[in-house]
Amino acid sequence: MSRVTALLRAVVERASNLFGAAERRRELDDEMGFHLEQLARRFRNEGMTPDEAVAAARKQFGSMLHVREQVHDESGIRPLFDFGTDVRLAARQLARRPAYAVAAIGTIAIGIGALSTLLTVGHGILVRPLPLPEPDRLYVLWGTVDGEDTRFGNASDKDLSDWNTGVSSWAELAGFSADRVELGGAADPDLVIVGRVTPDFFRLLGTTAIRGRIPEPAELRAGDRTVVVDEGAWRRRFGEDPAIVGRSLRLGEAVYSVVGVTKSPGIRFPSDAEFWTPLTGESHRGSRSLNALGRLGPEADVETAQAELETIAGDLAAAFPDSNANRSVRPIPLQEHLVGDARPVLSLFLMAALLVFLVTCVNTGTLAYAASAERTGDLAVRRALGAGRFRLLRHLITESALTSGLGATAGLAGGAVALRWLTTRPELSLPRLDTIRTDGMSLLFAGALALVAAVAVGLGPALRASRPAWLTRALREATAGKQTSVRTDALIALQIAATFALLFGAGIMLRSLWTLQQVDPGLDPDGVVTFRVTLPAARYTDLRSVADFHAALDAGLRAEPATVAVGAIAVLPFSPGSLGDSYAIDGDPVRDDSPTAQLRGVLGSYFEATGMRVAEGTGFADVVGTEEAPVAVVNRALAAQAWPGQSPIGRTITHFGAERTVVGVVENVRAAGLDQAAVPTVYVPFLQRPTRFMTYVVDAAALPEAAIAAARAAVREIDPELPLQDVATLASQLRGSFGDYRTRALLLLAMGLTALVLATVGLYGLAAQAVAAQRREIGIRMALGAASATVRREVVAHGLRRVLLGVGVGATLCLMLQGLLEAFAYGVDGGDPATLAATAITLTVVGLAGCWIPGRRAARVEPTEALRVD
Amino acid sequence: MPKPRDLLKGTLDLLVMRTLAIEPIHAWGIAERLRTMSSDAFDVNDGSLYPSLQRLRSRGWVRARWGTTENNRRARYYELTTAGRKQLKAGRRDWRASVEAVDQVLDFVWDDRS
Repeated sequence: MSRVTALLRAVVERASNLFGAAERRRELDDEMGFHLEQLARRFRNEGMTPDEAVAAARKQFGSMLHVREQVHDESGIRPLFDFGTDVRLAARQLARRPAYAVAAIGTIAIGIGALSTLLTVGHGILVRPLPLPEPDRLYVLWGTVDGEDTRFGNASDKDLSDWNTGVSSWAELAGFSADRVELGGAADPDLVIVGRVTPDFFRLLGTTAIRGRIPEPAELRAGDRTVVVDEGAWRRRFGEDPAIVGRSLRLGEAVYSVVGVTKSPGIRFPSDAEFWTPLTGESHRGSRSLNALGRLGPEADVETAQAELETIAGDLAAAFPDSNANRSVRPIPLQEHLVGDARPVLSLFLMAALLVFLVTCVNTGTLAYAASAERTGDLAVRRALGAGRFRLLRHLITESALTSGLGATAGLAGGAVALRWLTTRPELSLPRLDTIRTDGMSLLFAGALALVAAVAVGLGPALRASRPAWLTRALREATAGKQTSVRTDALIALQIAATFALLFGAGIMLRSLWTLQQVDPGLDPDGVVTFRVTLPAARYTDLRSVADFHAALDAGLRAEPATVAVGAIAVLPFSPGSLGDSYAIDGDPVRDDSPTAQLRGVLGSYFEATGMRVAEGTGFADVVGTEEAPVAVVNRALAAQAWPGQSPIGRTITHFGAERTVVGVVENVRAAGLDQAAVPTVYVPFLQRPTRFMTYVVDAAALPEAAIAAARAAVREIDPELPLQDVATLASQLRGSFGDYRTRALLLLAMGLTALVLATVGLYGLAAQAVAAQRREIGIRMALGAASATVRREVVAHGLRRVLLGVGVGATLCLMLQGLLEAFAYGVDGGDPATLAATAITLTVVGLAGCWIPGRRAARVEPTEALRVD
Repeated sequence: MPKPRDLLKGTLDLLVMRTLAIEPIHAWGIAERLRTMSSDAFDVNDGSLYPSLQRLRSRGWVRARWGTTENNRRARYYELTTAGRKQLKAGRRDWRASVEAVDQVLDFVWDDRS
């Protein structure tokens, strides 16, 4: 505790210096010193020895301390000066009751830490301006069909050029799309996201370069082979190569020349792109493969700008009814487009943190209330010694301000740690999360919350205790706890209600998580390890060498005694990446409105290794397949969509420009995530859709470490320089696919349990204090013949009434807010009665336990207590 | 000899202002002047001077600045302000009035029939 005391003292020291108190005191001491010297000199002149003279002077002058205090009292700057005294006194009071101080400061720290951290996150995502010039003038144009938002894929390059020539409110309009392609020419080949952009894109965003330059619009025409690299990608993938400008990069099938590196912090837009190239070619008007981005002109307002676009859209719809009928666009602020989806989950977390803050405030408030009751005597004495009411009030408020100030400091420190944890949770899929830091804004939030907490905690007890009548009465009766019970009841009920809401939210999240875990993923991840290999174009120059590598690796892995089955796929389920296109069946041509399906190249015994069940027909026989005789295995979702009620075996499907014969049907895999329905998917043999990257799945009767070690050895045997990428188990990939559910459940549960502990402790503390204050009264009743069971029942019943009131309010609150929860629930209603009941029972039981101990203590009061005088 | 604490609060303030009306001086000088001027009746060398000086400063009747004594010792010199001079005049009038009133009470002959 000495450390706490030392800390408090340091704070006090700093505060007094701030107001020049020390300086004034030094001056006064100097002045009085001179006075004493002169007095002593006079006595010496009257015939005393020097020693006698000094002693006599001291004696006559009297206590310097007393003079100092009197001068302070007369000082006109007293309110400021007293601040230091108040803080010192408050610190001393806190240090004298370390248990109370630690409990109060710790509780406030939790509340302020949680809320200020989430306010920082919310501000950092939703409010903080984008790191671009004049970000509030940037808009994304969402497409509309008959007035309904379509959000993506809303413009073709031809639409865009018509808009650009027809508008005057927009300074610039540009189009963009994103591709995931293979990167060659860097240290490690990898799949990367490439933004495909129209000429005005960079000028519109205001992008600047740290290396080379941002290309002129003339260098960014569709088909130009220029590429711009993101600063982060330049550091990570190219080791900050100073000669990056002018280098050649292979992105997918084409080779591009690097013109510049963008300056960070910017935004990696669209879709976290790391590279930007011009559009790969022209497309027809109906393709609508682009999204449009606009910068509003300096004078324009968004309403006029929207009206202009609608007029042009109307003209286009009349001119090209086939592709543009009923279509228009709606400008959405770029920031809203990027972060709007995060709003619901942020509201959920903020609401939860607000409830925790409420619980901590109420808890500390009741704690302070109880503590002030204990200090009745102390306060009454100070009042009797002449401290005015205002003086006492100020002193008590300073004490609560100090408590909440220290709590805010601790909360800020804890919040910084929590924030660092939060910002490294990619599974939360919150935009801009990785750029949020504890900053001046956090400080501001914590400060404001500390103020709120100080008033909430201190004002009640301070007003009460400074009321002269209360002090007198309290001193006489010494049962201070009793008169405040109605207000306290309300506070405790509030606390229980907030706790109820938090626990209920956590319950809904846990049930969602549990329901998700019951979902059949469509594969059996037990004992399966996965890793990715990417074959560099430099060493694997043709398709044959790639196929030979895979055939050899497949054989090498199967040669391991522990191996049960081996296979590989281009994009593993539960990992990002998609390759989709429209398809048609039975020889029909593919049209604009054809349904789409995903394509996956597989090799080896992929279905067997992942535990996918072949429902009809067969899988693929060869390891890599052949280039001739296109064949396909489709999943059940596609079979049901394309050939409802019929067998697809032997039918044909046209997809990605090839007509394939269906040889088998496999059961669905929820590849996009367990909470997402299975997507229609076409599986083809590797050689019919070769890629340089493949993810292997090895089902082995061995520990994952052993299986991976064996896999490493097998790869090294064939190509010693080839690294294994993204080594994992299939089970962990599967778990990762509902990581956001787990993180949400974890966060809410942590907050709910914190609130539960605080509320129970608060309940217990108040009941115990009330019992302690009424010992004599209880003793009298015992002496008059009351049964101890009755006394116990009364104490417990009183506590239970508070709990039940809180549970009722909490349940109502939850039913009112169920819409908020519903958005994050899976397979469970936002007002789920079972969860509601479970929460109510948990709280009641825990609350009951909290009152039981004080109840038992009350029942054990001896009748002789009535005789005790304290 | 009346102890200084027996002096009415306002009275000490008045006497201090009177000593300062002569010329600015430090606290020790004030005490010495008071002693001389009262023929040793008032010896305020017990620190009670300082609250009084602080009070006078707070009210703007006296101002202080640091200077050096003839022995080259740093000391705080006090000086009467214009407001202080006015206050001294008013204080003197009030004092006279209350002394007269007190005298009148003390010397009053109570006669039931009057």
